[in-house]
Amino acid sequence: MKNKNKTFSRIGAVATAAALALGTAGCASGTSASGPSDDRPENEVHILVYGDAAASAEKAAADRFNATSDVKIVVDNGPAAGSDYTTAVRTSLGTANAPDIFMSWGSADIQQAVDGGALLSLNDFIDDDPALRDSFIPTVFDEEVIDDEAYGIPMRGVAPTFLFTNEKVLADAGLEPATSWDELLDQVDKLKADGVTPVALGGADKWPTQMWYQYAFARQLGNDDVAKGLAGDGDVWSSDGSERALEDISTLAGNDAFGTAFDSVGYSNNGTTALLSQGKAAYELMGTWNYATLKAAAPDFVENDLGWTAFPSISGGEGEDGEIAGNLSNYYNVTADTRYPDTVRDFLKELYSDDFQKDQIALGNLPPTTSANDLVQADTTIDDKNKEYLSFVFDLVENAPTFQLSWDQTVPVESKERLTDAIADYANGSIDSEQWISDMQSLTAASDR
Amino acid sequence: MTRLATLERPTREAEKTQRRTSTTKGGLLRAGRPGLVWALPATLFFGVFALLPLAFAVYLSFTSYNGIRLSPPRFIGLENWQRLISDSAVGQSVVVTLTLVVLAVVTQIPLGLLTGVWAAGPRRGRAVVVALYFIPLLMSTAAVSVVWGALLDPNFGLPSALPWLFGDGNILGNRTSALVAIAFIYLWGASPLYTLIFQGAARSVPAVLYQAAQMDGAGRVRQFFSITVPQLRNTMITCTILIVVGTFTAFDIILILTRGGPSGGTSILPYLMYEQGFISYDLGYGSVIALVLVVLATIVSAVMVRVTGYDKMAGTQEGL
Repeated sequence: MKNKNKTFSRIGAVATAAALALGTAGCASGTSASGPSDDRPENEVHILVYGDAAASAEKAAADRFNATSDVKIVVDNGPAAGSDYTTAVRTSLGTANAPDIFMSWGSADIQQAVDGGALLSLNDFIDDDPALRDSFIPTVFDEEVIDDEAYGIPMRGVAPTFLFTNEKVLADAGLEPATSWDELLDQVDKLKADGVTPVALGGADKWPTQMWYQYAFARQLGNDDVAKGLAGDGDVWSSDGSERALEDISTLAGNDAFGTAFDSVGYSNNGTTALLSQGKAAYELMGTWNYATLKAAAPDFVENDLGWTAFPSISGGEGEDGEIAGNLSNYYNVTADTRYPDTVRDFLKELYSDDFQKDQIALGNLPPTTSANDLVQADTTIDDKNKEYLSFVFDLVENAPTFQLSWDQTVPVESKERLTDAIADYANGSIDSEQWISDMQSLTAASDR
Repeated sequence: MTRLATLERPTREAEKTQRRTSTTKGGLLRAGRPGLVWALPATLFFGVFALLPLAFAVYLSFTSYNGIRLSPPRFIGLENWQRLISDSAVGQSVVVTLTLVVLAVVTQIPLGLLTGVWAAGPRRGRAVVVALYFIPLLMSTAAVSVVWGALLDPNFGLPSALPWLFGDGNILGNRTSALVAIAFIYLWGASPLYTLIFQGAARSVPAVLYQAAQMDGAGRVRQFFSITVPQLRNTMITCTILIVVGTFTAFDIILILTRGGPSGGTSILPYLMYEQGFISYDLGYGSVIALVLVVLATIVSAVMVRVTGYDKMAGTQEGL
């Protein structure tokens, strides 16, 4: 028996050694990905699309392109959940199986890939065809410009956040959509007395709560300061403006504006959608995509009672009224070792073509281009309400002095979860403002890792 | 007794014959006791799919790695492990994990035992009820979690229909009630399995024991505690181990229902590991948490094996 035990421990030792060897071998194979690679499939350029319904526009673009190209665009369907998609891209980068083109959410999302030399700078493409830059709304395009190198071309809808309203609920209470913060606070009491939740908030998902911070801080501090804070300037978070914004949030939440159970309500399970569309809530702060969500769940409500308005002003704040926050767009990125860079460049031109934009509009997206509004107005396939809605979004974005990308998309990926936790914890009262400030300071300072 | 003894004899004979043939034919040193060759497939499988990844996790725990091969793991010594010591989230997660394990054991074992023993009864009506009771076992956990999410919605779910029971319905928004809700869903989803196991075990308890007890004047309750429970002791230990192991690796319901919230109140170790590894893409620190889970689970199972005498488990039917 003793001998047997020894054999087993020897096997164990061998296995461990083998594992370590394998591990180090795995690391050794990580080579530089610069320059076109012949290991990649011949005459094919692979796109990994985010596999939701909106990918249809991208597939159509590939079909149009393939009609005249010898090198074919092959569309591979990726997962349709944010973290799964990103993981699939990450683990493939640096191998011959990596897609040539994939989608990202902003500079923080691609920063580590840029650091690893996995992405192609698109500056040469833009030199060849300046429309690859100039067709897009500058604030949106600039998001994925890192150290003067452009890495992404915007492709999906612009998605700022703003207030959605149930006009009937407001009218029944004798109210108009609030234009100032104080007015909103006054309306909270009136709406509560009427037995409705003043503001629907999907706190269980955490990121909807973040939207309230983004605007409170944009109004009290201005987005330029917010951007500095998110980039690691800790003084921003301990400033007077920051204290005022936190005070605003705790006043609103403490007044039960979101109800008492908002952390049990979800957006992703249609909890808030039902609240707003069934007349149990008056407001919801959400992104552009909410129109499609509401329309799918309650088409009659969208047609008759859905309203929208820009986020109210806050008197005494240092920010401007028109400053906005939300998701800028999604971007197509190109891997550094793509075999056919010229084909990729020519395909990317599809992203500002009228055909692609029309497909986006039909999906309910506002393309991130300067010509989007004209195309919306000229479109005969969408109804008047939808047209009115997309024009509102276009004006909101075009007139905005600043457009702050969602905080969780701005901070380094390793800080994302801690950020949304701090935001949820302060809103539900489980941490105080002092703790929140110190959490923000430590998680934004982590960007050197 | 005499009948039992006669029944045993041919079995022993058969065993002897088997022993003889296996020594001559198989060439194994000790017949009936498989040698190393028998263990080879399992050992290989375990080595490749458990030990190898485990060793790799140990290696990764000393590195900084973001999952992009072009920036290979960078050796950073004990940095990740030092971070573990000062990370309050891990401490909280260990407490949450152990709490959930305890909640799972103290709810699932009694419920499984009672329903299993009841279901072991001969009447046909029971079989129908039991069949219905097994339905949760057949459903996908992911789908079930989504449905529970809707059921627990404070405005449209059960809480709004039963305000006297749930108050304002802030079930998933409160650390304690969220953890209780998760434990309840696991109870609902997993206890039918233990019912099934207990049902099988209860049916194998010899009827003579109950007949004898009845003659001695023992009532139903007395019979349950003095015969059924002791007879099912080994089954209970097995079920406890299954529950502990299952709960230590619980993940799906938490991912879909609460994402570890509120304020980390349901963030058990597997979820925390996922969060670090695949949301923050800090695979080095994620590996550290994975190893904490391995160590914790190993300690708990070692203690359980010792305390329950699982390693020396013997039959409960001596003398029959």
